[in-house]
Amino acid sequence: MPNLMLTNYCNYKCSYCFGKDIMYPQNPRLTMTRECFNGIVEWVKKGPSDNTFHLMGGEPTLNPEIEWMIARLLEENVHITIFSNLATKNAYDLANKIADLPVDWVVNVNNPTNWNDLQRKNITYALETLKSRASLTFNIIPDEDDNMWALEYTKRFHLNNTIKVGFLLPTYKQTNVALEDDKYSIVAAKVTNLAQEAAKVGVHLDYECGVPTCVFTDEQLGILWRCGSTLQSGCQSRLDITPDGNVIYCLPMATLGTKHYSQFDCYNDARIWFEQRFAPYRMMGHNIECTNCNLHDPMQCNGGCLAKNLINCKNVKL
Amino acid sequence: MNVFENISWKQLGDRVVAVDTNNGDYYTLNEVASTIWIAVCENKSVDEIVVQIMEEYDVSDAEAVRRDIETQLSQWKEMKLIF
Repeated sequence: MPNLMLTNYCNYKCSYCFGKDIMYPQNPRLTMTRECFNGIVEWVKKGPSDNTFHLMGGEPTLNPEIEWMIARLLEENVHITIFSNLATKNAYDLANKIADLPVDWVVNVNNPTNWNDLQRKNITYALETLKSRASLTFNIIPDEDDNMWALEYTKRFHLNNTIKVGFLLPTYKQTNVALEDDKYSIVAAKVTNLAQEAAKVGVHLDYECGVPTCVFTDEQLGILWRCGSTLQSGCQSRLDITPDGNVIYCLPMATLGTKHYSQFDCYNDARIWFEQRFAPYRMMGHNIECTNCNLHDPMQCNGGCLAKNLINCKNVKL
Repeated sequence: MNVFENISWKQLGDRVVAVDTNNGDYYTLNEVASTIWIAVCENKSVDEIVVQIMEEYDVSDAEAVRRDIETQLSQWKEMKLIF
């Protein structure tokens, strides 16, 4: 099922945010209404789909209707995951209120050295409350420390033992700060080190999409494999729906091929439409080596993030 | 000459890769073909492309270069890559 973007407003203004192409203040502030939310839920129910809704933003807990929306989804007996930074009082309050409900939280965090006192208080209190309902996700930054804090937090707060890490990927319009090509190998080394340390304490490393396999050396891939930490270098989106009901493939490609959900019969039709239209572009790859690579396959590796690979493409049109 | 709208392409190093977004057909051009392709996209005439190829690849037989370029362009037209 799709990722529902409850608002395009976020309390953070991260320079690397890959949602920047549609985020406030670069774009008008949008908040999903009950009516729009309800329409999307009914639309999703019309066709086949998995049983999970992701609620995201911006910071989704800043939508004043989020409690109603969660209750609405629970009526449908679907699994709910909230993607939140937990740094606001709204997030902390919501976490406290619904801690006993079957709702999972994926907590997007920056390095704790960057948190102010209030953010630290909200995040740590909420993590204490959510425990294994929460898992951490963050970007690996080349010049930051070795990220062992994530293991410490996972153990200290008894969080879900899967941590998801990402590389700083660009948006199609290049409005964010992204990782330079020559820094990928630095991040790959940091990821490998973190995966090794994580495995020692029973924590599993998972990956955001858009990580090309070849940025890792064969030795690093072997280490990741031994840690049970397998790269997902392919790319297939669940689709995101913006607060005003527009379907996009994913946040970094938010400005390509937007259509209102009501233009599709059901969610599954929307997925097929987007996949068919993006399929030819997946052949492009990132380097000339991609053209002869055995892994060059949509399900295995696109040569990295599709949005990144489309940046210098001519005639991109869905 | 121009590239059809359904042909999406990009430069990867000194090569051009192109894909027909209508049917998924995928093309990897060699270095010289890539130079010609980019010249076409820069709206250069055949005469200009001939001069460019002779200079970049240190070739002196202008007629042979012209023949090769025209053959290449004809193939691309037949393949519905350019018009």
